[in-house]
Amino acid sequence: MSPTVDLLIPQMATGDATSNHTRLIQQLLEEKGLETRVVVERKSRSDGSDLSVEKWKGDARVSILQHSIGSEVAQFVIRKKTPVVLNYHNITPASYFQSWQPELAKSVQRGRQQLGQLARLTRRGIADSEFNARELRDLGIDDVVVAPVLWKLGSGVPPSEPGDSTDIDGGGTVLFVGRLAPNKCQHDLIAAFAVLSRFRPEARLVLVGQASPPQYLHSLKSLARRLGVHGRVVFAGKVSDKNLLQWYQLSDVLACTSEHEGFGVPLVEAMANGLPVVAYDAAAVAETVQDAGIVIRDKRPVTMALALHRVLSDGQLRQSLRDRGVKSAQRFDISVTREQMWIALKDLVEVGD
Amino acid sequence: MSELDLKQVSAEIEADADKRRRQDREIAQLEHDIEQAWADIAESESCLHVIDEDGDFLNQAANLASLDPHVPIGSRRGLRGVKWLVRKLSYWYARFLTDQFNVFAGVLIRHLRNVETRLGRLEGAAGYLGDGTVPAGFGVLDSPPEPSSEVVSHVAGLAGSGPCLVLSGGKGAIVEAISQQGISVHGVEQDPDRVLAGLRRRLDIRAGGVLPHLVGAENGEFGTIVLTGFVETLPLRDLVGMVNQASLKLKKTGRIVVAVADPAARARVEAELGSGLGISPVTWRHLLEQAGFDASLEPCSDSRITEIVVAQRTAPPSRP
Repeated sequence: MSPTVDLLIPQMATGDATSNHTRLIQQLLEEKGLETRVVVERKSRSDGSDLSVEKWKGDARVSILQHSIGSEVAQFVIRKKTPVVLNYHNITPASYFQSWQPELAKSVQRGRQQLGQLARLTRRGIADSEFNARELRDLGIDDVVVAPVLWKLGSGVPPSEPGDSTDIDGGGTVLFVGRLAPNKCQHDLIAAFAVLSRFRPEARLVLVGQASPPQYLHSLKSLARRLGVHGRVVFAGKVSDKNLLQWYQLSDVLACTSEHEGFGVPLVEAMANGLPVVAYDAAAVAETVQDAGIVIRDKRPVTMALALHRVLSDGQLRQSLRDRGVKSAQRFDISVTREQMWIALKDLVEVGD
Repeated sequence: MSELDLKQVSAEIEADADKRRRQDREIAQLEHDIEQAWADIAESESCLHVIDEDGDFLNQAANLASLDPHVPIGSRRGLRGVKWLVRKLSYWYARFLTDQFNVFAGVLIRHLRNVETRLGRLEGAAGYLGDGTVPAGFGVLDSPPEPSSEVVSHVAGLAGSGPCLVLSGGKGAIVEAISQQGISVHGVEQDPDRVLAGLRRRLDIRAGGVLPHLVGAENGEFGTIVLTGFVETLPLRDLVGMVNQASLKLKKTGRIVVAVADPAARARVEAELGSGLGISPVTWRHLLEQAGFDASLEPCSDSRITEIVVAQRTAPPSRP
C-alpha cells in the first residue's frame, strides 16, 4: 500500500540543509500520524531514504518535491506528469558559475528548465521566502505559501546577556558563513576587508564554508595575498556544528556580500547568536534580516568597510543590533516554522481522512 | 536605543562612503585598485577548471577515469528493460575501457609524480621557497601537541626584545605568556581549529603557513623569533629555508628560540611515519651556528621537549 506522503529529494546527505529540512518535514508529518516515504535518485542503506525514484510510481496522496538545481528526481516527476507540492529553495543564476564551473552552470540551467515544466504540475508551491514565492508566482503558480526552511536553530547566547558596549579597539572579527562560491561574492568581502584594515589594522576576517568550485577559493586566496591581508583572513573550511557555534560566539559582526540568497540561514543563525549583521541588499537578504541588521544597497569596498567599521566601533549600535537580532531570529525557531509548514501542508495531506 | 533607525544608519554609511570617495583621492584610488585586482585574478584564474585549491593537478587527473553507470533509466516497463540491457552492456564495455585507461593513467601519473618529486628536490637545492607550505608530515606528525606549561614559561623567559613572532602559534599559550611580559607578539598558525582557540582568548594568532608568513615579513622586523609546534614536522629543506629566512627577518641584535622535540625520542610509529621530518635540538644548534648565530642548548624540565635552543646573532645576516 502506498504511503500518504512521498518526499522527493535528489539525495539525502549529512550536513545538507535541504536533507535536514526533508527529515524534519518527515518527522512533522509522522507525528501527525501520516505515513511517509523518502524517495531519492539512488537509495542508500545509510541515508534514511526508502525508495529509488526508478521504482517510484507517484501514487501517494501527496508528493512533495524539494527543488533547487537540476535533478533526475525532478525529471521523473516531469515524465510521469505527477502533480506535486513544489518546495522551492531557489536556483542561483547560471551566469555566476559559467566561467568558474561550467558543469554546475549547466546543472542550474537544467534546474531552471525543469522549474518551468514543474510549474504546470504544481498543486501548491512552498517557498522559503517571499523572494522565492515571487519567482513561483511569476511562473504561473497561483497557490504559493511561504514557509521557511526547517532547521534547529543553534543559539549560544541568551537574549538578556549584555553585550560589549565599547569600541573593539583596532580589531574585531568579521565572519562570513556559507559556501565559498561566486554568487556569494566573498571576493567583495575580502576587498572590503582590505579597506577595513586601513581603519582597523588588527581586524580579522573569517570565512567559514566549503569551496564550490575549488578554483574560486584559489582565487580568493590570491586576492587576499595581492591585497596584503592574507595573514588576517582565515579560511576555516567546512566546520562542525559545534565549531560553527563557536565562530558565531567569537566573532564581532557577520558580513554578507552575497548577490543571490533564496533565504540566508547564516543570517538567522548569526542573529540568534547575538551577532550583529551587515549585509548587502540582494535577493531575500533584506526580507530575512528585516529591521535587525544593517542592510546596505552599495557593496563597493569602501561602503562595506565603513559599515563594518561603524558596527565595530559603535557599542550602542552593536547592542541594539544584538537585541533586535535575537528577537528577530525567534521568527525562525523550529516550533514556529514547523507550524508554518504544517499549515502549508495540512489541507492537502488530510483530505479524505 | 530600540528607536534607532537602521535604515537611517545605512543611509548615513552610504553617504559617508560617497563623501570619502569624492574628497579623498587615496581612498578612491584604493577602491579602484582593489576592484582591478579582483578583475585581473578572476580573468586569469576562473578558467583553471582542473586545478583544485592546492593546485594538485595530479590527484584530479587520477580521477579522470571514473565513470558512473548508475543513472536512472526511465519509467516505461518495456523501454526500461531495453535501456537496462543497453546500459549493462555499455557498462561492461566501458568498464573494460576504463580499466585500460586506468592502467595507462596510473603509469603516467606515477611518472609525473616522480618528475614532481625531482623538481621539488631541485627547488630545495636552489633554496626556492614555494607557496605550498603545508608541511608534508603524516598523520600524527601533522598535529604536534600544544607546548606544556614548562615549555611555555621557559620560552617566554627567553624572549628578548620585541616584536616577537611565534611560528607556529598553536592555540596561543606561548603568545599569551610573552604578551603578558609587555612584549609585542603575534603567532602564525595553519590549523584553523587552533587559530579559533587562540582567537577565542583574544590572542593575536594569524592564519597562514609559517614559511610564507616569514618570507612576507620585512627584513629586520623582529627582535625574537620562536620556532615551535608545526616546525617539528617540516622536512629538512624547509627547515634550512626557515633558518635563512629567520636570519634575514631578525634585528641585528635579535634572537631565535627553538622549542622542538627530538625526533630520535619519538615512539616507533611516530618515528617511522616521520622519517626524514624534523631535526633534533642539537642539529638546530648546528644549523643556527652555520647561519652565523651564537647558539646554545638550555635544559627544559618538560618530558617531551627536553632542550631549548637559544641563538643570538653574532655576525651580520647573509642572504640565503
